[in-house]
Amino acid sequence: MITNWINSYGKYADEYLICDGRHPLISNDSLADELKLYNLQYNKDSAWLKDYLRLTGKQLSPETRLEELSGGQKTLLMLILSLSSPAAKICYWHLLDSLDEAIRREALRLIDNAKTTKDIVCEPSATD
Amino acid sequence: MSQVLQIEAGTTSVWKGFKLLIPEPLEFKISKIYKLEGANGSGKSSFIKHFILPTLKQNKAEHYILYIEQQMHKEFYAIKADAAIKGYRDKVDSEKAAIDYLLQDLKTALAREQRSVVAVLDETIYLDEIVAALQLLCPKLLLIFCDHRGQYSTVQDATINFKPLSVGQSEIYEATP
Repeated sequence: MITNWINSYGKYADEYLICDGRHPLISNDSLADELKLYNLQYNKDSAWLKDYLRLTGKQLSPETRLEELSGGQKTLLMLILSLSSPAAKICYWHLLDSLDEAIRREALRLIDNAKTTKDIVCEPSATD
Repeated sequence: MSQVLQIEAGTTSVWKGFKLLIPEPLEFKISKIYKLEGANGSGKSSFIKHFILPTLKQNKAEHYILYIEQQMHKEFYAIKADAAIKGYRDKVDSEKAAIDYLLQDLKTALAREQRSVVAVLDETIYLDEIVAALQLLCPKLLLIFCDHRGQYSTVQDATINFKPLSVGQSEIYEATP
């Protein structure tokens, strides 16, 4: 299935950081491991950490077990980490599938803000 | 379970730092449709894993269970293996193909022995298609689902609300339309 998904990313697969809401976390262990994938360091003053706390009420630490997050919280973490990463081009797939209405609005707002510095696409379209 | 799945009242710690509070017993009846409704992180999936599925498994001889997990990429490989073991002729190479296989497997089981079916669908983009297939296949169906996408617009018989009381606790109660 992973191979099929990679094939389906098509033209984005070579240049974009692919973030797929159908499997939002890669390490599935601690936050510290997931941060390495996005080339991010844990810092209690990070803007992404504050964004996550504001949107979910959850205070993350490097030891946080990601399996204990809900499906929507995992997707939101994927979004926030990817937007904070050095990636200049990001392609989101099925980003909104697991998000409730309030979080969905916030997710789209975060993406809109990031579009001033990053090339971001959503597939299927974020407004579908 | 016979015609009713019952969840007792009480407070249960489902994860470190997260509790679900059920002030009144909850009943899920065969031939009814229940929507689990609440914000992200309010405990819907945890309720399924810690209450619904264990209760169903205690009475698994009475009914067939169809459980579609949210973000099912890990479940997918177990389904793929099951399809291979049972000699399923179509290739199971996608989430949709896995769901088609599960429905086909359920159809085979129902043809062999009629039982009630309990379907638990946690945030699948194929909700409409699965429900349509189940309603054709299963004369006695209990459907429990979560869906943030606004699919399946048919009125459900009851909504089970998940109301966050704090970051670490949600209250669960039934609200009949």
